[in-house]
Amino acid sequence: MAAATVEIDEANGAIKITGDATSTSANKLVYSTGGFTAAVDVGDEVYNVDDDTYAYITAKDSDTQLSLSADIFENGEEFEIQGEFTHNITNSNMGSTDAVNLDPVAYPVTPNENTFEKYQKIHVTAIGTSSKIDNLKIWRTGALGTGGTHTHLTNARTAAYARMPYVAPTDSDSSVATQAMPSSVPATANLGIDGSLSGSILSAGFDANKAFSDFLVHQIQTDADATAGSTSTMSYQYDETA
Amino acid sequence: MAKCGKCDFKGSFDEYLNHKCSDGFKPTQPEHHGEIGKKISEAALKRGAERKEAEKK
Repeated sequence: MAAATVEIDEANGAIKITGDATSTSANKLVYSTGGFTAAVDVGDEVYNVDDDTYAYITAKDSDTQLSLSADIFENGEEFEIQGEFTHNITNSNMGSTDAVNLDPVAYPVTPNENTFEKYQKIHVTAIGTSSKIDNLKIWRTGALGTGGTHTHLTNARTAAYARMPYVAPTDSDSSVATQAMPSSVPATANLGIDGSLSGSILSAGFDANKAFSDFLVHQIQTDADATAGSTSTMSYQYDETA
Repeated sequence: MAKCGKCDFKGSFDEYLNHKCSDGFKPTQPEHHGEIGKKISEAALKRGAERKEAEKK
């Protein structure tokens, strides 16, 4: 039996490209201005701003046309394509810069300020002989710090969950990460797949069954009495059905 | 461009999935995530099996 292979990915920086679709074509995004060849990649999440719907890029047909995992665009509808993706991150260090695998000593958080938001996904790179990945749970353990009130906030939640599109991470108070990060394993899933907490990944491809979770967004906020030096550990859990 | 967080690889998504990382394994190979990854996977499979069993009852 070959188990599934799973990694954590992180997106950073500005949205790669945004504009209005210039034609209607099934399962395609057509944009006559172009720029897709250099800017985007297979696996990037595409957001339809007008309809609040999502798809993944399955192929780069040309500089002006993308193949998508879902038929979500009509002529004139606005699209946004996520920031630069780094696969298989080695840590989730948080600090005063928007960067993957950052050095928190080089980029410490000044008391009364926030870390930059993190936009991360669980990514199934191979499903092996398993049939399903689901029940995604995210939480943290360990002290956030002494001397002040530190809050680790997230979009992950077990109720009233909503999928959030990528926006460039900010160190202002997050408008997306608004709920306390659980400090123990949640009883039920708190991160969705395709917008649903009961969603599942059934393959590592970009067909109707996505290879990725939704974006997990999280941020640590501190107050003026905060002191440095504590460590909190993030946990990312999934269930795998053989 | 897909970047690898473990080595300095940059390329297309397909190239990323097929590159040999600094540990000699591809991102699609379970060995890529080492002993910790193996334990995470075993725990995930155990939870999945328990749920499957519970659903049968």
